[in-house]
Amino acid sequence: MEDTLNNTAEHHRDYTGAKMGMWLFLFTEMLLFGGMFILYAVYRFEYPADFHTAAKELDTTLGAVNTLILLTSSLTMALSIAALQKNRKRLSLVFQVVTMLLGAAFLGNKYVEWGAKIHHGIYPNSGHLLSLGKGQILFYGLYFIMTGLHGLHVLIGIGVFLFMFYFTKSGTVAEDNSVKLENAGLYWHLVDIIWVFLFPLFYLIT
Amino acid sequence: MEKSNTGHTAAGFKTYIITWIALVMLTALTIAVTKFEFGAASILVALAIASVKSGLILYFFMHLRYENWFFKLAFLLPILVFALSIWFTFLDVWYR
Repeated sequence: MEDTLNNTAEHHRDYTGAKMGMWLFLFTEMLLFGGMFILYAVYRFEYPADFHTAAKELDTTLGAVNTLILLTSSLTMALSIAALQKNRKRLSLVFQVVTMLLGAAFLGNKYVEWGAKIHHGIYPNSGHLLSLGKGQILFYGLYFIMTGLHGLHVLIGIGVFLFMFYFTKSGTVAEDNSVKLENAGLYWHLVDIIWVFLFPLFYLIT
Repeated sequence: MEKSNTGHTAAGFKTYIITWIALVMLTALTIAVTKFEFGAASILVALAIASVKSGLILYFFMHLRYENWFFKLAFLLPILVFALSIWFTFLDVWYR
């Protein structure tokens, strides 16, 4: 009797609890970036002219391409869960790899973009940047910290998917137990949502 | 006893692809409207489009439509905290 009880306890999975924990974590992430968005709003309000000049310098095309890449990676992420739930493990693994590759492509573009900025002498505390207006220094400070922290999240997301790929392959994550993959997906989609706001605020509005 | 899998019916691939098409179209729209000068309103237009896009991601990609009322309500909490933070910050900025 005791044995059967222990066995059921071992196999019990708290699906709702796992989801709740992930959402709570995502709420803290939203407020982490939210705080920086407020900072951005305040400084844009105080230095509209400087923000206008600085935002013009950002590459809208690269930003748009990266938006498309992240949106598409969110699609492949959602598809990998759907494929797993239809018990098509192989297809799910393919979608997970595509998601990781798209994440890597996003970071590659970010590298090109930051590289060009740094090449032009625009990086935190550079002599050229410090010679610009106060608002421009603030704009680029926010640009580097916000896109940098976002990029770090993309990098962590790719790391999480490496684990998910292994779990799916080994069967730890499977059709009837996909909450790990679902939660990894939630994280990835939140990172996508943050970019959905970063893109217009830094690249589009001048 | 509750089942370990809450019986989430997997959404079809089609739903996700349609969501993605809508997201791409909204991205094109948000880029297109920057050609017009709305002045201060351009920030509001951009934020409105970004909010719609986030809503689509939350509702379809993040499965909020399958979750029970608790998750849907809990989501309002960080939004409320964020809105209050904006409000109190700008009270300071505007009336200083």
